[in-house]
Amino acid sequence: MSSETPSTVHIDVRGFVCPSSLLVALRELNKHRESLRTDHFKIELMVDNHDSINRICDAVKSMGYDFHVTDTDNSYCIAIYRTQALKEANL
Amino acid sequence: MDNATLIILISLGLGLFGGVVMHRSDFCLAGAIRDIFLFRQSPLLPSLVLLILLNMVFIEIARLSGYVAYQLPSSLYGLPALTTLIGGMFFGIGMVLAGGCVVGALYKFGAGSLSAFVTIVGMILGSFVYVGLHPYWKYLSEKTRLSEAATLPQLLDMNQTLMLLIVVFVLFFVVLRWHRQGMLVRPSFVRGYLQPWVAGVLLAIITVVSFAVVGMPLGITTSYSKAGAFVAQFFSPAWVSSQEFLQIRGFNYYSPLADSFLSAGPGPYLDGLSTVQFPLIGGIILGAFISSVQLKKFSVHWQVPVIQLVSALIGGILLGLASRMSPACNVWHLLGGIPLLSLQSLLFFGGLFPGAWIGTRLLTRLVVRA
Repeated sequence: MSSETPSTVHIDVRGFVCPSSLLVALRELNKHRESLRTDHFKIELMVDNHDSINRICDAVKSMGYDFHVTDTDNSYCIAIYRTQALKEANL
Repeated sequence: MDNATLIILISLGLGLFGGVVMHRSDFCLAGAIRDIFLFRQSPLLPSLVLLILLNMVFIEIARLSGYVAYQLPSSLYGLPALTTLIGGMFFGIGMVLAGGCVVGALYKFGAGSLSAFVTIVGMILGSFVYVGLHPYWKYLSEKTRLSEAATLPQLLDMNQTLMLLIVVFVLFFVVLRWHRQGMLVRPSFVRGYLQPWVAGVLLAIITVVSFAVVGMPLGITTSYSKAGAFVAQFFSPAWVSSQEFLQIRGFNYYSPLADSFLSAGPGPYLDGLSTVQFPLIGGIILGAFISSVQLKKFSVHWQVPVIQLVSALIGGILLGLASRMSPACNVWHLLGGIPLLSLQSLLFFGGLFPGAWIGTRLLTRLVVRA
């Protein structure tokens, strides 16, 4: 699935009842784990719950992925990817 | 300034401070217990245990110094009955489905959560459901009374301070072990995040100040009954006056600020409880609102799956109902009752665990598939 433009899956869990935001995020990570490992692929999560943000990042780290948190207007965006996979895709 | 105004202002101040602390740390009492079953590890549990441990120490020191006076059983914590265990179980189910407890819903609502608002409406409805149930539940409660002792030291005929020392000693080593494993400090990726253990220390201070100055630990749920009763009074005063539960004024406590005993009840009138609880509720919502605006994170998201809102509503109804069955909420029992070693609170705590387990099963099967 390597391509010039990164393939990105957007997931918005803002406003979700706790801990649904965390559960949905973990489910999506699991669903896309093959793509995250082998392809030029990125997941962007929009989250507004403090605890979920910390725990998603913690879980992502322990799974061996890389992530970047961006402070947006009224929530946070967590980009999840794998640097190694991006390098292999020549990006 | 008269006494009532002073009580209102102090409660409002405690609520404001508590609202900011809980919002910054996302200190979810419900999550601390739920996650034991949901994720088989609970990042907030060490901070909750630290909070209970500190409350034991602070309240006992305040009692021995004469700043806090109580004699159990009283209106604060009564005699143990099986109904409290059942209430705790319903509360456990409710807090998982609602995604927070009676106070969690307040700070989340203050930061703009739509589902938390639905939970608050549910809690008022749940308190209302209890009104019809009250005569039967009261009967059952009397029939299932387990002991004439109100606290664990009374039951075992032990000195209160000695028993607390033993419990504190054990809990201290548990917390120390967590600390050494690095479990007290949470990784943080958000701006303005307050570590939950710091929040635990601050909430313990708020609890003991409330007990010493206002005359009771933190509690809010009777006011949900009151809010419902005010609405009912508007539509049908005759029905309100026919309901036994809404007529009782059985809650009595000593108010140091008023220097007298105040009586209160769940009916549609302003009394010694509403003077404390309504400002506390308003303060928590306002504190969380101010905190979220200051962090530029106040936002309302309307795109919430309907099933989650239904879950929040049912959870809220169960929380409101269980708070009257128990006959108080988790904040009252965990932060105030367990530090006094109240048997009623220990039963409630015991009920929370099977409840949280059932709630977790329902959540992951019906609401969101993991």
